[in-house]
Amino acid sequence: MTHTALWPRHFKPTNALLALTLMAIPALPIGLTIATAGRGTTNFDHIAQVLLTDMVATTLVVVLVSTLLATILGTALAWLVTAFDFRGRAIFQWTLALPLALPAYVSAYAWGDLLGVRGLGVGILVYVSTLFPYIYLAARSAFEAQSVCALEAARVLGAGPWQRFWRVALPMARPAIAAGAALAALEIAADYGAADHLGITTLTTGIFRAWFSMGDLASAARLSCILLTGVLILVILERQARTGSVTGVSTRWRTPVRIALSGIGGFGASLFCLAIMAIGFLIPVGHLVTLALAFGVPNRSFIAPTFATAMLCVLGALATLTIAALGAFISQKKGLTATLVRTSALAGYATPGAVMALGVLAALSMFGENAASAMAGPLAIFGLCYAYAGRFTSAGLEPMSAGLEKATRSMREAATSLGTTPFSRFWRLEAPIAAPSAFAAALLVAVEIAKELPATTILRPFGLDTLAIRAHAYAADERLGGAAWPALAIVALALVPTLLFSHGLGKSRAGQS
Amino acid sequence: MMRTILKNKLARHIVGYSAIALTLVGCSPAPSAKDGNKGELNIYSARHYDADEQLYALFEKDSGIKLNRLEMKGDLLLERLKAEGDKSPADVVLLVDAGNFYRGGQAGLFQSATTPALSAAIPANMRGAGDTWFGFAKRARVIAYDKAKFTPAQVATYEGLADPALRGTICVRPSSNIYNLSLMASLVDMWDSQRAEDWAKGVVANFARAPEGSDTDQLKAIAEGKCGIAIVNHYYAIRMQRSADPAEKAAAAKVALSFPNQATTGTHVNVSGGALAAHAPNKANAIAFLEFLATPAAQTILAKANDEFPVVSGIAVDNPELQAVATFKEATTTMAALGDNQAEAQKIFDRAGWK
Repeated sequence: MTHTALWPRHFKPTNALLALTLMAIPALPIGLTIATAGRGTTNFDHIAQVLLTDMVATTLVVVLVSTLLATILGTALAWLVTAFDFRGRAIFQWTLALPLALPAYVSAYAWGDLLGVRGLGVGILVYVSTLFPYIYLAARSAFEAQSVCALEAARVLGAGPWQRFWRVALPMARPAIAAGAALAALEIAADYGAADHLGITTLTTGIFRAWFSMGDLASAARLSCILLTGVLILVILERQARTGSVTGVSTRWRTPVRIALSGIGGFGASLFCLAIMAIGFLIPVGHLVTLALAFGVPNRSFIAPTFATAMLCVLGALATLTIAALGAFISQKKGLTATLVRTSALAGYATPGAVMALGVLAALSMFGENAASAMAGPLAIFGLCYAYAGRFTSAGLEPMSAGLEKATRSMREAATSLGTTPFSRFWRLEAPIAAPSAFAAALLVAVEIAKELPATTILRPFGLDTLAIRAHAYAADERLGGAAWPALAIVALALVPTLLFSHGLGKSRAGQS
Repeated sequence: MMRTILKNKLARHIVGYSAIALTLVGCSPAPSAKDGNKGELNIYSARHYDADEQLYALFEKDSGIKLNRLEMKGDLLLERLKAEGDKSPADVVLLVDAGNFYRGGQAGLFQSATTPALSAAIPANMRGAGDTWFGFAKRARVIAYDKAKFTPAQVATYEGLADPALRGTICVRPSSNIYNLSLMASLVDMWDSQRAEDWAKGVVANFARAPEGSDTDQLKAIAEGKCGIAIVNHYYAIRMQRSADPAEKAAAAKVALSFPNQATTGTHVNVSGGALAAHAPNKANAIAFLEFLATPAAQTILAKANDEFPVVSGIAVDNPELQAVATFKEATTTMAALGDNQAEAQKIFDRAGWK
């Protein structure tokens, strides 16, 4: 392959165009919403003087404390089920991911009603108990993919179990844990449903307050800018956490020898896993079942919403995954392009769904004569898929990038020397290697879409209700019992991909594919 | 191994599911956006009440018109209508709270729908300027209190809620809720911003806990002894009194309602209602539906199933619990004032520390 003198060496115009398109997908709608920030407003002074300090402080506390606790919990559980054996381990190993199927706002309905109190404490409980699986799954897959050779070498060198964890396993798993923690942190920052229900004043609830109570999009956009600045800082921090990590993962793999825990240790481990399962899943879901039974079957069938939800999950996940796969392809070469593509995807992930949806409306009306033409039939589905891709690309991009790293440099060089083009090499070498991660990522995105509420509400085609929308309608009318039915249906629907994801994760290990 | 799965099973699954999904999209009822199909009516609704199901079913049966609907929160509904502009499929817009009607009217989302039937049935103060919207049911924002701890005289006025004698007793939902915003907007209209803010500070000083939850949650908290007094919409209390759940009924029995300011300015009332969308493709059907909502049959359903007060006079309310509180003096604040003062109301709440 020769290149003309028109371009600097290594610069590929097609790649650059692709990268720009990928960046634009989340950035365009966000930018269009943010653009209103420059409009004049008299309300922002009021917000800045009276509310802003409280909003920023509360957001920081909620995001940092919840993420820290979720990270510790997720990592500890992942190590527990990977390195030790105890009664029920084989079941806990995959059921610990179940809380992922429970939307934070549904958990907030249940816990708020059950405890009879709300506020910051309950908020942190809800966020930690529903979001720790992000870190748990990432850490578990990292621990499981680790070369046993490294751990055994450490053992031979005299390191005890704790030292092997702190000095060998943890540093090697750090990028995966950091990526999982970043996703959890961004999800908390963008959450509106649970924060609103529990009465926590975050930047995201502030955006909605400015927008709804004051009818002031400009102030809402300025608050979004502050939120996105925070996200940018988080992304930089996460990159910092990655640098200096050990990357030389061997591709040789053997069944790890787990340390058997018996007696008090084994009992304690089982009890701990059971307690986390109870707090994250069994208690809130059990309470919803009680509420649902007390309420009786609601008179509006939710069979059509179940189908609608499933359809949006499949279509949205396909769209999101396509974007994510292209993003993973582009960001194989570390550099500015990769950073920008990843950052814009993360910014999309941290953007509240309603803000993204409004931006998509604005973007669609830029291309069509009117947004309404995009609201009818298949075009509305396109708008929704766009919003999902804008929001959730990160959830697909991150695991796929990690999967691609299993294609080692030597493999790539061998392929190149055999004369493949980069695209055909990607299709024939990297894509099959990353396929399990891509499949897992698709499941994760599908779960996100099943739980999504605000963007779906705004953009859905006329006459289409999802389960989340139906649940919210009952909750808004202060009938938690009625909301419990569709909420439980969401959980049931999201359980399928969650279990597939959690169960299938252990099957993709380095050296196996 | 994964590679073959991908090539065969996964690929086939993806193709299969996509085919199913696309078929579903294709088969989903096509929206009658612009074809003006005579048999249809597109409703955008911010109401989610079970009573509405009965109303829709009755209308479909009587008229033979098929209803399509889209439900979302009032604020989102207005944003979506704005974005859709003149291509909007919406015929009728159902909203809760005069503040929302005011905002929709300002944005030019409604059109005038004067008809003899509507003019005769709906009182003038329950209609928007130029008949751009109609109130079909009323709700009062009242004071609920623990019967065992307070006398009616202690909770007879909104002003009295700021009395230091009530320290540590009041529970209420957050200030960003439209019901609280409209109440505050009416106080600003009646007094002025400064007096309203002083009042809000007095109420905040009397809070039993930071604002949280819904109106129903406040009522339950009174029954549990966590709060003594709450500010709620009347129908949530009536709904608890009429509940089939014995526990809810028992809780409601501990709570009494005070319709404030009966001796002075009257109790704050608000409306839920409907408007003819500015670009309604099925205009005739839309007007038929609005007129239907003003019929005795529809008004009775609203009163019976959702515990709202009918706006049409002379309706026999088949709801003893609602009938028991149906006669009271209403505040005379115009509905436009509620919309006008909404942003100011939020600022006053913020300054007073009412979360």
